Order: sequence, then C-alpha cells, then structure tokens
Amino acid sequence: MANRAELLPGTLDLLILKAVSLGALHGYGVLLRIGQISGGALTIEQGALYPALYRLEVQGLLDSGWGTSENNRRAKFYRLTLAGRKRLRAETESWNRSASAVATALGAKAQEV
Amino acid sequence: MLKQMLKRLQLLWRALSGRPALERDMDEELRFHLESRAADLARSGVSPAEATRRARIEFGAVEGYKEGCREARGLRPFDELRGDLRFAFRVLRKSPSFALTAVATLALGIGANTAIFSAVKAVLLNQLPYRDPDRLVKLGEADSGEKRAGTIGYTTAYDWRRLSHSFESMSLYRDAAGAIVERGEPELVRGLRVNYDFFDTLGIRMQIGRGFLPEEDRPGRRYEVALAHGLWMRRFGGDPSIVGRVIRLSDSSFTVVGVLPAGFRPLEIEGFGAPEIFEPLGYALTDPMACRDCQHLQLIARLKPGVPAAQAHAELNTIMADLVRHYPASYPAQATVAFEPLHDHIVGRAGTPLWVLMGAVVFVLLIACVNVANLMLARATGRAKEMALRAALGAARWRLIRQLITESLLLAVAGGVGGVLLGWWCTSRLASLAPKEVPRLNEIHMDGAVLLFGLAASLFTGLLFGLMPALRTSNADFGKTTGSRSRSRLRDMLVMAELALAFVLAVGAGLLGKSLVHLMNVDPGFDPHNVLTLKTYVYGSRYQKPEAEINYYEQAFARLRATPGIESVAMTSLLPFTDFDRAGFHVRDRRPAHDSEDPSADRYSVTPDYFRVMRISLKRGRLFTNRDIAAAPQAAVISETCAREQFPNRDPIGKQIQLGGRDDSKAWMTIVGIVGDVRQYGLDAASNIAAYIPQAQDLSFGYSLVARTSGDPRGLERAARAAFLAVDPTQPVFRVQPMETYLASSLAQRRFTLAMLALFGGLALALAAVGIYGVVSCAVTSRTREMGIRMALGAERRDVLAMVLRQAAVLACAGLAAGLAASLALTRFLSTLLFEVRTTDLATLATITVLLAAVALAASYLPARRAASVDPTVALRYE
Repeated sequence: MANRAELLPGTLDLLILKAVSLGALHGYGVLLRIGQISGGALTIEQGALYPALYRLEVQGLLDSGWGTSENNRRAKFYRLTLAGRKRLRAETESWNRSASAVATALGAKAQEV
Repeated sequence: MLKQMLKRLQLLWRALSGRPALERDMDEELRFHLESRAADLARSGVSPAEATRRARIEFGAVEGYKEGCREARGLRPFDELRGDLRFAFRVLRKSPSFALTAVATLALGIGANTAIFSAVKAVLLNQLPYRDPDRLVKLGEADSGEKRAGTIGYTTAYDWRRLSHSFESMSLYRDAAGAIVERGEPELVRGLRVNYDFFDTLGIRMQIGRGFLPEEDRPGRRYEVALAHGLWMRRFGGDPSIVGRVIRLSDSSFTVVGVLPAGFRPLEIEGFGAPEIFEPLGYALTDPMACRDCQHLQLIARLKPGVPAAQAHAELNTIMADLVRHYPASYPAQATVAFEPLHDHIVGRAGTPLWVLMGAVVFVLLIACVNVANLMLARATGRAKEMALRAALGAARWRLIRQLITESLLLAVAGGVGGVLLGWWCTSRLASLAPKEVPRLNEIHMDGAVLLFGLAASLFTGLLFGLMPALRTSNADFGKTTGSRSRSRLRDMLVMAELALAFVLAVGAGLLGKSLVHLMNVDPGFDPHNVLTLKTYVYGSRYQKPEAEINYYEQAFARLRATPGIESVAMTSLLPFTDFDRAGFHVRDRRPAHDSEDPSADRYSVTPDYFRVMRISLKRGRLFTNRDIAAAPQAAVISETCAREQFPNRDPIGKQIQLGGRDDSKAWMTIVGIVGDVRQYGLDAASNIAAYIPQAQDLSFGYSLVARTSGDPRGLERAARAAFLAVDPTQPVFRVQPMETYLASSLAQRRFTLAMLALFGGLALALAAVGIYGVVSCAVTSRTREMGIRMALGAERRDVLAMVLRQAAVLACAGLAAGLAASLALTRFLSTLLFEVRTTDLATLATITVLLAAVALAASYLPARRAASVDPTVALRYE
C-alpha cells in the first residue's frame, strides 16, 4: 500500500483512453487493465470510473455497445473511436512534456541556477 | 466538430427519450461491475457475503456516481426543470383563483395579439402569390406628383416600354365585362383585358390550356378568353374539355384558350370587383383610345433581376420628362411617374390602421403583463417566508429565481394556449366581421407562423412579468423585512405604467371616434336615405342607336314609376362613392396654350330628374327638363366648386364649355344652372369640380338607376330588377343595393378600426382598473393597524377615506401625466386616419383624462371605504 500513489486530477480520462486503446473493455475490465498497466501503483475510486466513461462517450472519444464478457455475461464494452485515438496521442505527448519539465525542474541543483 | 455535436445531441435525445432504458442499462452495468469484483474477491478466498460487502465499499457511493453519469449525459438540467415544473404546478394549484385570473388575463392579451397578428401577416407580411413578387411594380402617370399609381395612356406606356432598360416586361390591363347567358341566369361577369404577356409578367401558368399569343393581342379582334378557376367551376362544372370551346359573352363569341389555377389571385381595379374573365387587350397606336391623354389603362411591370427600384423609377422619370417636353399638349407640365411596389399598391391604405391595431394589442398585452406582475408581487408578500426558509436551507438565489420564473412561464404557456384558442376563434370571426374593403382579408388564417408568434408572445410575457417579481421575491433575506416598502413602490410604478398605457389607447380610440362623428356629420351633398340603386350596361346590336338605349331606360322607368313605394326615378352615368369618370373641362372664351392645362371635371350624364331624386340643391339658374333633348341646344349644369374655381368673380350662367377635348367643329354646351357640391370620392375627400350633361344629349356607357322610395329601399330590390328584366331579359342588371350601402362601405374601414381600438381601449381600461383596485386594496390591508391607531387617536372616518383616496389620486395623476406625454408622442401615427381632428385635440385629451381619473378613483374607492369602516378595536388587534 505504501507504494500506491493518488491519481493526479485530470489523469483518469487519460488512463481510461490508454486502457481502452489496447482493446475493447467493459467497465470492470478498464479498472483491471489500469491496475495491470500501472503495475498496481495507482488507486482509482471504482465508482468514479463510470461518470468518466459516460463523459468520454458523450465527447465522442469512446463508443459503447453491449457484448458478452469472458464469464459469459452481458456487459457493456467500450472501444476507442478515431477521435479518442487522436486525443490519446495528443494528451500523451503533452503529459510527457510537462512531466519531464517538472522532473527537470525538480532535479535542479543549486549551482545550476 | 459538427459530428461531435450531433453525437452529443443523439446521446442526449436517446437519454431523454429512452430514459427508463438508460436507467436499466446503467443499473446493469454497475451490477456487472460489483458482481465481477465480488467474484474476483471470492476467488482469492473471501467468503461470498464478505466479498459482496467489500466490493460495495470499494466501489463507493453508487447513487452519487449514477447521478454523475446522468450529469455526464446532460440530463441534470432536465431533471431540475421537471422538478421545477412539478413544484410550480403544485404551487399554482394551491392558489387557483390567482392562477385563473393570471391565465385569463394573459389569454386575453395573447389572444388579441394572435388574432391581429394573423391579420397583419395575411394583409401586410405575406408575399403576393406571384413569381418573385418583390420585382413587381405598379406604374402610372402622376399628373401632379401623386404617389398612388393610377392610370396611363396606351402611347405613353408604349414609349416607356420602348425607351426603358430596367424592366423584364411591362403589361397593360383594363376593365372588361361580359354577360354570360348560356347555362343558367344571365350574369354579368367582370373581367380584365390584358396584354398577351400579362400572365408571364406575373409569373402565372395556366392550369389547363395556354395564355395569349402576341398575334391575338391586336386591335379589331378579340376572340379569345381565359377563365378564372372559380368561374370555370361555377358555370362550366370544371369541364376539362372547355379549352377550345366557343362561349358567348354579351353579344360576341369567344374561344376559351385557358383556365387559370385555383390559387391565382387576380389584380383588381379599384371599385370594380374580382375579375373572372380575361381577354386580350387588343390596342394599337392607331387606335383612337390609344392617345397620349387617353389615361384609362393600368400598368404593371417586372423589374430585371438586380435592378434597384429607385434606379428604375429614376429612369422612367427621365423618359417622362422628355415626353412632356416633346408633347406639351398631351401632358401637364409637372407630370411624373407614380411608381409603387405591387404589394404596397394592393395593401394601399389598409397598412396604417393594421399597424395601429397591432400597436394597440401590444399595449393590451403589456397591460396584461403588468397586471400579472402585480398579482405575483402581491403573492410575493405572502411567500417571503417560504423563500427565506428555502434560502436558509441552502437553495442558491439563482435556483429560487429559476423556480419563480418556471412558475411564470407555466402561467404564460397556459395563458398562451388559451390565447391561441381565443385567437383562433377571433381570427375566423375577424375574417367575416372585417369589412371587405380591407384587401386580402380573405387570406387570413392561423398557420405555423401565427402559432409561433403566439408561443413567442407567451414566453416573452412570461419572462417579462416573471423576472422582476422573481428578482424581488428571491431577495428576501431571512429576518430582513425591508423588501415590502420597495415592493410596494414597484407596484405603484407598475400601476402608473398601466394607467399610462390605457390612457394612450383610450386617446387613440377617442380621436378616431371623434373623426368618425365628424365624418358622419359631413353633408355628402345629396340625401342617401331611401334611395335604391342598381347598375346596368346595354350590349348588342339592338342598342346601336342611342334612341334604343334611351327607350330601354324609358320603358323600365314606366314600370318603376308604376311600382308602389317608388316615388321618383333617374339615371346617372356616375354614382357618388363608387364611380370615376373625369374629362377635360374647357371654357370657350378661355384658351390656354395647351388643352392639357385645362382641369379635369367629374362628368355626370344624367336624366332630368336626377337632382330631384338625389335632392341635390339648385343654387342658381335652372335644372334639366324634358325639353333638353338631343335636338335642343346643348345644356350643362356645373357644381358650386366648379363655378367658384373656374369662373372667379364672373357669372358662369350662359358661359359655354366643352368636356373631354376642345373641338370647335362640335357644339358648345351652355351652362344653365349651378348645383351644390357632391362628395363623389367619399366623405373625407374634398369635392372635385363637376359638370352634369343631359343623358339625351350625350349618352355614356353604363348607367346607374337611382330611385327614391317612400320606405326602406331593400324591400324594392326585386321589383326594381324585375322592371329592367321585363323590358329585356338579356341585359345584365347588377349591384342592386341602397345608396346608403355605398356610404356605409366608404366608412367601413374606419368603423372597423375604431371598433377594434375601442374594444382594446376598453379592455385596457378594465385591466388597469383591476390593477389599481389590487394595489390600493393591498396597501389598505397592510395599513389596517395604522388606520386603527389613527382612528383611535381621533381621526374621522372621512379623514381615513381622504387619506387613502389622496394616495390613489397621486398614483393616478402620475400615471395620467405619463400617459399624456406618451400619447402626445404616439398619436401622430394616427394622423392619416383622423378627419378634421388634430392629434392633440384638447377636448379628447380632457375627456379621456377625466374618464380615466374617474375609473381610477372608483377602483380605489372600494378599498378606501373598507379601510374607513374598520373598527379601531379590531384593527388594533389585526396582525
């Protein structure tokens, strides 16, 4: 538990897009996938996932439809749309840029100033 | 971007329309999550019950997230709206008398607006049913700068067409008539003679058959006819094989070439009625009727695309100026071109009254709004606690405002539905009640645009009367009571505004009413009571000789004189209030440089008894007698105005004149008498100069009978018609009606405008009275305790009464002063509708002021008396 980090505001959408970009998923699957790709380092309040999914669908970044889950139950699956894919790429770049900028800034030593 | 918006709308729509399905899906999705999680936990060794519990805890507040999902779909505002509506409905149901009063008031206002708007739309706003109607114009010669496009001579029109470049086409038309005898009763059908390209200029295609060909529009041969749809159905049963058939019109044969579509709206010549048959015009430059000063044709033209009207008008004016220079004998020196968009020409003088009425109903609606706003404010006092409580419980202010506005909108929409129903009813009444003199009124009906107008009016009123009270009411802070004073000041202001609006309407109605009274007191110059009239034309080879036509009238006279109830009879070629015939007035011993400089006189060809039947007074000299026959010296009688203007300081009797063209080879007429002026063009139009000639000496085409009856002329209509038909059943006899009908229809439009304005003024006054009553009685109620104290301290009942009334009087005075200022600013829009009344007529303003002051005081007297009759001991305990 000690290694788990709180999610930064605004990053949930990005993580959902990333998770779904690897293949269509139902809500619970999104949760598992995020846990898996972050190496279990990020906690997500499970319920918060759903308003975010709905929002992304309204924004046209996700598409949804009913399908059958791995345990043979009816489940709602989410898929990335073309617009979602574009957004994911853009957001990833901008995330990397700002993260490395912050990292550089934090790594600065006294004599470099 | 657009695709995203569409997607969003689609999801919102699906969410709204499939609301239960959405909820079901959401439940299922979340349940799937919880169960999957529980199953995973159970697999790691937790007991099933514990797994379910933990899954729920990990998930968090399910209902909160569901709400989050709904919000993501954009549903939250709708949920709130539904809540607001439900609440508003409950609140209004709890005070039904308030709700009913408000809805009824609004329904009156919106209904009146919807009805008048439907008329405004049909008459003024709707496009004419022709191709590109914006490019159609009506043209005419303007001899002295008149704006209205009247008539034109054939050669002048020919030159305009030849020399101008702004027009796609120009088409002439004139009146025509034909008697249809075959298949049923003889019927005089009105029609038009038109240039062959007339229908192309309008952009109308025949329903069956074709229009006219250029070679059919030649002099000396008029053999083709096109029929209006109505006539085709009525007279020929809609027979599709009519094209190519020969029909008889009056004495000639015509081949039917086409039938016009049912939706075709023919151009009407003023005072002539709707044409139903169309024949080629058949004029040529060599025609004697085609001369430059033979002004009797009508001209329409279609502008080329992209040519501005002003440019086309300027071009024609330049052409006309050249013509006047070249042919000074044919045109008055200052002749110009009258140029009107066809729509303006058709709507004519109906525009101003309709806009005035539209303004008036908007005033009524404003007053209705003020009244409802007042009611809401009065209620607000009672709801202050509720608002404060809700605010204290955490409702945001804008949320309270929204709730209150929802209530207003609910009221407004209910009022709007009532109003549209009322308007619908009024609209059908309006179309039948309104005078036929208003053009296009038969086109009035409710349609989408009118309904939309009703809806917009309701929403607008809802916001208007709802916003202010909402802002006020929601402002009530818990424990703070300063609201009531400013609220009562606001209500005072509203009542003043209401009085001011009512004042303006009442002044408008007063001014119109006074004009009508003035008009009805105008002496038309003849006595229209108990006079029966009818029109007749004679056709056919039988009447080639004038004696034959005169004999026809004489025989009919003999039968009429033998009819009980008919006292005396006469014929005239020109009936006052309806006909138009002018001819150049030339005096033998006064020779101007050009004939065209002589004035035009109204020319009446009459039988000797005409003046006695019509009771036109003889001023000097003598009237016509039976000795003024064709062989006798030519005689003429002129009107007083003619004598004064044409023979200043000279005695006209014995002077010699000619009408219609100076020609020394023809006989000159000697003036034998002077008669009083007749208002030929209506009570509100000054008389032109007039000249009368004996029928026996100059026969005109088409005559009207005038018969003086001993009683109501209506009872003799059949007998009069029968007298003519007994002499010759093939001749058309039509428009059998009392002379007073012409008089009434000349006033009809004014009467209608006045009646409507008076109705709206009365409505406004009643609403204003209710408003004052409400405000004063509310003020009295809130001061009952104070009254009690005053009376306990020795104030007389009279003092209390005076105090309340004084306060109401201050309100009324302020309102009336504002109304006076507003009416001074607004009544000038009425000026064209007034007759011999100035827009600032002092007597009207004073009367209306007194009337409104009386109404205001009466409305405040009732609550004031209640205040004065209060028992001090009761009042002191009153809380």
